[in-house]
Order: sequence, then C-alpha cells, then structure tokens
Amino acid sequence: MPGDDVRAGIRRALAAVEDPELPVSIVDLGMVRGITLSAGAAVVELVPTFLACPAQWLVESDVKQAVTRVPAVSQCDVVWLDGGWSGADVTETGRRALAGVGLAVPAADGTVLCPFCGSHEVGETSPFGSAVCRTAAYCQGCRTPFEVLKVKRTLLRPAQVP
Amino acid sequence: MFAPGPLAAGSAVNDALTGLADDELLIGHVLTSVAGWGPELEINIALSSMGQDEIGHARRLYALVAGADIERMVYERPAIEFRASPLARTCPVEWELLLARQFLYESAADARAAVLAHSDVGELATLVTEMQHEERYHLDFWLTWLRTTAGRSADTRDRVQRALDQMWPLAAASFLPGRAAAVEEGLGLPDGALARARDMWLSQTHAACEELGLRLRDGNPDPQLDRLEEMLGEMRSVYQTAPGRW
Repeated sequence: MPGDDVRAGIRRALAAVEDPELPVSIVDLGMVRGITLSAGAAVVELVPTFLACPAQWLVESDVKQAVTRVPAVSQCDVVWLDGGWSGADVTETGRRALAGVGLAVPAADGTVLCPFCGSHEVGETSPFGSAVCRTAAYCQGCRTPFEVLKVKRTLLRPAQVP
Repeated sequence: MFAPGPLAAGSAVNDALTGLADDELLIGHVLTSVAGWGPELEINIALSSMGQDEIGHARRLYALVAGADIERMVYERPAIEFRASPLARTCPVEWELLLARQFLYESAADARAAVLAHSDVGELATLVTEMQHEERYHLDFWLTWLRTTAGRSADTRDRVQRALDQMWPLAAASFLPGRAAAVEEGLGLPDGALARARDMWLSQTHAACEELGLRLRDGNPDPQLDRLEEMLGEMRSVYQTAPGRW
C-alpha cells in the first residue's frame, strides 16, 4: 500500500478516536500534532488539553489500537508533547459537538457564548470545574449552568526576560 | 542511579529540577488530602483540581530528569534523595497555614518560572511555560482567599499573620536552588537571573501582604515543620503492601 494511502488511513483512524470524557474526536479537539511513518511503524504526536489530564493514558491506548488496525501499519508509538494546546485548536465540528453537551469553547478573543442559548450574558462561577480542563459558568440568558473548556490564563504581567 | 533522562544525573540542573518536581508532588499530595476543608463547598473542588494539576506537573518534571522511571522516583526513592524545598516539606494542618504556604509557594513558583521559561533547554522552557499558564489559576485562587480570610475579622487576620510567621522563614529559604550559578549556566540563563527574580518576588510579596495589613517577618525556620518522611509514608502506604507489583 502506498505511503500516502497509509497516512490517509491513519488520519481516518485517528478521527474515529474520541476523547474518553467528551463526545468529540481527538482530531477535532486539536490534540493531534503530527504523524510520521517509517516501514510500517507509525509515531503519533499528541498534546494534552491540560498537563494533568487523567485521560491521557486511555487516549494513548485507543490511538495505538486504532492505528495498528490500519492495513500496513504494524506498530504505533505515541509521543506526548508538553503543552501548546489552546481552545483555538478545536475545529468547528468539535465546537458544535461540545456545545451539544453544554461545554463552551472560548473564541480566540476569549469571548464565551452560552452553549445552550447563544447568549453573551454569561459569567464564570468558578475557575475550577468538574475536570482539570474545565471552568464552571452560568448563563443569565437561559439561567443555566454550563462548563467552559479551560484556556490558558493570561499572565497578569509579561514574562520577564532575565 | 535512575534510568537516564534527558539531563545528566547528579548535575546541578538535575538536582534543581528534581527539587521542583518533588515540590510539586508534595504540594499536590497535601492539596488532594485536604479537599474537604474549604469554607465553601466549591473550594473543595478547587483544592482537588489544583492538587491534580500539581501531581501532573511533577510527573512531567520527573520525566525530564528520570526518563521513564517516574514511579520509582515517587514510590521507591529514599527520602534522603528528595530535593524538595523547606516550604514544600511542610504539611499545613489548618486553613490559614495552608493559605500562607500556598500563597508563598505559588508566588515564588510564578517568579521562578518567568526566568526558567527562557532556558535554552527547549523541553524545560516549553513545560515551564505551560505550567505557568495553568498555575496562574492557582495563584489567583490563593491570593483571593488570603485576602478574603485576612479581611473576615481581626481574629482571622491574626491567624493568617501567625501562619505567615511560621511559613515565611521557610519560603525565604526556598526560592533558589543550592547551586544557582551552576543551574543558570546549565540552563543557558544569564548570571544572576534567579537572584533578580527572587528580589522581585520579595518586593511584590511584601507589597501584597502589606496591602492586607500583614507582614512578612524574619525568623528562624522551625525544623519541626519538615514532614517529608511522614508524607512519603502516607503516599506510599498502599504501594508498600506489595512493593514493585502495582
């Protein structure tokens, strides 16, 4: 099987791997950063949404299982990168899927809309939600609590150049 | 001694990063242990979430210094080989002590990270930057609750002051690794960068406390506050029922 076909097969396989806690694929969540292939051995680079994400090991297992089912792939290793994920990495498909379960993803400028009614009248009720990657919020428009995928907190002062 | 990580074992840099990892592990252990103390129910969720973050950070830092040997670093390494700072070796047993310890720890970690993020060891710079973004939530939390608790009544402010009196001498001794110059050289940082970050942290921390009517008073660190061995015993109690077979 030509290498391009194998890579396409790996991409399709990864698109079918869902985050264990969310009904969205790891590709739409923006977690897949690289795929390399050499003589039937694949290496998939992933980035966690939060460094302490407890689901990483399950994701890794699911990825290995899915990728090694692709014809002509005999082995799959996963490399976790230390950071670099942001809400901007979530695709439109991912945003819609997350909104469907009441989880908002902030826009690039930090704007959050209620995932249920689309209202701007929302506020953070706690920076710590039901998982390390979520904050808790409330919509005044439809009076419904919801969660927000946690983005990196803007530093209050710029990092010092030593 | 350990499976080789990307950094040379026994070097000043390896010791310093092991210390940072040990600190995050112990801080995370305490936070997850005390989830339930919060003066509001939501606080307990925050405590466990922050604890989980810290343990995740420890795992990543251990990977830098020990490669794949993370579990051994946590569960089998002799206590004498831990490089944790005096502040992280404490096990605060009341809310105000926890507040004082965490505020001092997180503010120092933030100031130190601002320097380490410029290291020419790319893996460390990336990791520290990510950790700093995540820990910004923690620092905001502890500063908010320090302010809230100190402002609740004269009695609560006195309790916070007594907690700071215990924790500050330890914090003041915790900022710099033992061989700062060698760490700076090993990480590609300018000479004196860590000392300058410490000076900035000192002035900002004094100012933050003064705003709340609190003072950071010099004193002698109390050696009784070092609870490392006790904490490791708790952490390892289940593991040790069948060592090496988990």
